[in-house]
Amino acid sequence: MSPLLTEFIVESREMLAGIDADLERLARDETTPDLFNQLFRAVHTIKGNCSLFDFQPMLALSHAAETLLAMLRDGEVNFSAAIAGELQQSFDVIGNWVEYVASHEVMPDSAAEQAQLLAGNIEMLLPEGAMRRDQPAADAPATQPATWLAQMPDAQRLAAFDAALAQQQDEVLAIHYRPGKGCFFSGEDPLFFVRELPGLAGLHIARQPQVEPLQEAFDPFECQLDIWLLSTAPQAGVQQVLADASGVQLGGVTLAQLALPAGPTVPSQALAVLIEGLQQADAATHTPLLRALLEPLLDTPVLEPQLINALPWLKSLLAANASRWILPVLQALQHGVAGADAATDGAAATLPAGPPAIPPAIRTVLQQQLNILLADGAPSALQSVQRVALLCAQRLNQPLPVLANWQADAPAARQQLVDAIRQLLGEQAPATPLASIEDALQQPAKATDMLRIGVAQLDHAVAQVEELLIVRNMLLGHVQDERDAGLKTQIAALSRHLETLHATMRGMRMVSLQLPFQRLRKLGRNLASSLGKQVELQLEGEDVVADKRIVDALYDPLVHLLRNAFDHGVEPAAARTALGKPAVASVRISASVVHDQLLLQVADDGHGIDVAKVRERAAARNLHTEAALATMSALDIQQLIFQPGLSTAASVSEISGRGVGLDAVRNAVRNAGGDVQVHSEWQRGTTFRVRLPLSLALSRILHIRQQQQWFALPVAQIGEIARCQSRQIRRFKQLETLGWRGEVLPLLRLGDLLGMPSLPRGHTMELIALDLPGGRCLLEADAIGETVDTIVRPLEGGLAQMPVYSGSALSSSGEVVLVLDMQELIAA
Amino acid sequence: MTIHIDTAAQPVRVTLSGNSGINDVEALLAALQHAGVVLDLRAVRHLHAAVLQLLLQFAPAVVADAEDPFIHAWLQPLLAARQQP
Repeated sequence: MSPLLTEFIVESREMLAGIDADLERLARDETTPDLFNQLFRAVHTIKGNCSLFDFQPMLALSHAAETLLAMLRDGEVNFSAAIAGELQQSFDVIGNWVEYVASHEVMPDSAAEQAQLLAGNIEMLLPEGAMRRDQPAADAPATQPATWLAQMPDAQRLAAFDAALAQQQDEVLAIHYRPGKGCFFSGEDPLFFVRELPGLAGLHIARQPQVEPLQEAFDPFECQLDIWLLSTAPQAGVQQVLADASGVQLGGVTLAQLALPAGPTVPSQALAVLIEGLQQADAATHTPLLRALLEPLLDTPVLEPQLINALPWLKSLLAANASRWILPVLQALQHGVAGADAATDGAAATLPAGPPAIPPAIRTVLQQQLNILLADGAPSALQSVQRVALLCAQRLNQPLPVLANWQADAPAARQQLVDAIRQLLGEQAPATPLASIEDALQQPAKATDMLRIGVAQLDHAVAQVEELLIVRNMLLGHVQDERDAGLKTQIAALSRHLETLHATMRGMRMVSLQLPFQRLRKLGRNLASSLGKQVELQLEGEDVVADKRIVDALYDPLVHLLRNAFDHGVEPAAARTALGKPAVASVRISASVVHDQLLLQVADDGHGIDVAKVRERAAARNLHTEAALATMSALDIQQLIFQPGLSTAASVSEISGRGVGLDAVRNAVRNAGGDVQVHSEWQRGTTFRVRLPLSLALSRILHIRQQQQWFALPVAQIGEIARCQSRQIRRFKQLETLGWRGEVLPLLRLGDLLGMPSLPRGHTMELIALDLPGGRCLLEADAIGETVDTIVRPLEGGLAQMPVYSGSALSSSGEVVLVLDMQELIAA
Repeated sequence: MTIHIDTAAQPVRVTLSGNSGINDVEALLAALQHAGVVLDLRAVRHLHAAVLQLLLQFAPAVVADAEDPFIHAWLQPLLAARQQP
């Protein structure tokens, strides 16, 4: 996927999250113009972004929504529940499209139809004709021929003119080809199409107009070309070649439009005479008449420049015997396109005159001068800018006020010069003083204060810092015996800074819950309608931040819990009213930070867990003995619903699956280093509490060696390490045991568990006493190493599938060490 | 290699040849940073749009014309137009 598209998806998701929160406020009747404006801006951004790609349906729908929001903001339309519904539905659909694009890189096939339907719905909410007032830019006519035609060399236009005359055509094909900015990434080479274009007769390549004309950054992989082409080939052939090119618009240019007066012109008397003579005669006779009129003119000793420039065109017309074009072309040559516009009988009357054409080189120079002026107001800079600007003005045949007082009043002179250059560039001379121009220039800098970094890149940087921490650990070991107090102080300082750096970098991975909450909100709406239940879903604490990995990991469990609450938790309205509960059920998801942990609660006010039924099922499935179940507290019984296969719902619905739900939730949460508990009150409701770490924290691990390979154990599972004599070991069948502090404990050999050979035992050995949920046991390994504080990272790839390893860590020598999950290893 | 940068030459000379594609863009961008760099287009057969875009941006002087008729007839005039002050 192209970086541009990735960026689009990330930004659209962000925007949609914001929009969703705003719509939520709308639903609470906070209908202020500010809120509408905020929504309008967000939609506008989305619309602008999708016009970079070929996402027409998204463009059309966001345009419709944008129009509606603008009218709401301006008070031209009154807010209503119907409008809220339409907006909600439209943004849900746009959100779906964005997700589809994220996985398929294109819009779904159904999008066009959907967009048309939804945009139609929105249009019906608006006053008649409102939708037309602001068409998206893509629909705007592409042609402003005067400007770009003037940029094409005379010879090219003349050749196209000749070719059209030879084929007796009144028009040549004009092609405006504006490739998408990201086209290089999709393998599109615009010049390839240009090269292949049949009947290529004219080529002008400009830079696409920039939104920020003074933007400095130049990205060579972003296509900034704006290509104008003339072709004398039939349209079908051209379309065939350009079928795969993006951003192509076709139009026509008449013969009169091709004939542009060249260079600065003094109006020619001779041309005026010719036009006057021809206007009196019948158009059919114009060829012989022109030939007769021209002859005496060509005999005059000094020809006027305008006539000289016109001659090649006239000769072509005479050669082709194109009488009907003689007068329009002459008028065009005399006045430029505007003249042709006024004088011809509608033959070429459709095209407005553009601003006076400025050669791109001069435009660049002028813009550079403007930049210099805005950056530097010193008199010496003013002087040099003025010199350059005067040269440019001369080339453009434009006046430039000469500033005499630049030394006396530099600020005023600077302002004057800025205005003058802007005028040369064809921009409106701004009424605003320079100070506000400078303010405006500051704006983009503020807007780009944020920098997007790929997670992989950031993780790489974090890993580097962690490497440094390991080096620090090794250094600390070395300097412990060092007498040089100075060196110790320096290393302590280094250590502090490293830790700050590490904390900062980890902070960069922290993201808010906005995105998962936004998706949950949408899911909640869909669930309520598909289940036919009335549920008010409240989400709190979306500002809470946690490590990106944690935020990613919590979404699936939350979806499960939300489905569970909607499906099994809350009752249908009728049942609720019968019980004296409010008809509209409530489901609340809240996030908060408690004791450095992320606490997520999913609470419903449904019927709660039927403890008796759970007890019954647990007994039936032999999860515990009946006697044990009888003594367990209600709360403990409730926790049993996380056991595999213990579904509590009477009916298995397609939404919540078949009893695999809650054990999957617990596994997912535990994999992310957290835990989940349930607390339920009969007929009052159920609350699930999910606790997760806020970030990948340091954990303390013990290194152990088997053969030549090092492993690690979480110190949290270790009771103690003790020396004992091998003769104390008792063997019972396959099982070895050892008396330990008055208990007889099983002795496990790491080699046996891992399927590796063990070294022969000596007389004394060191054993690790493990405190596992299943009880205490002793572990024997070939060697026991050091204990360190380090970061245990989750495993990736194939190893992630192996439950006996809970993660990996780097040893102080830089080796990767696998962290064992002893509980899994013993069970395996 | 479709791009050759002779930094020993005075001025620095960039020679494009064959099918100059998107892979040349980074090297070309770096080469065009040299002051007064000149361009040899003699042996180039096609210029990728990204390459042309860079050349238009930096407008180096062309010291050897392209033998390719399309580049010579259509693209070089665009480059020449940029070189005017």
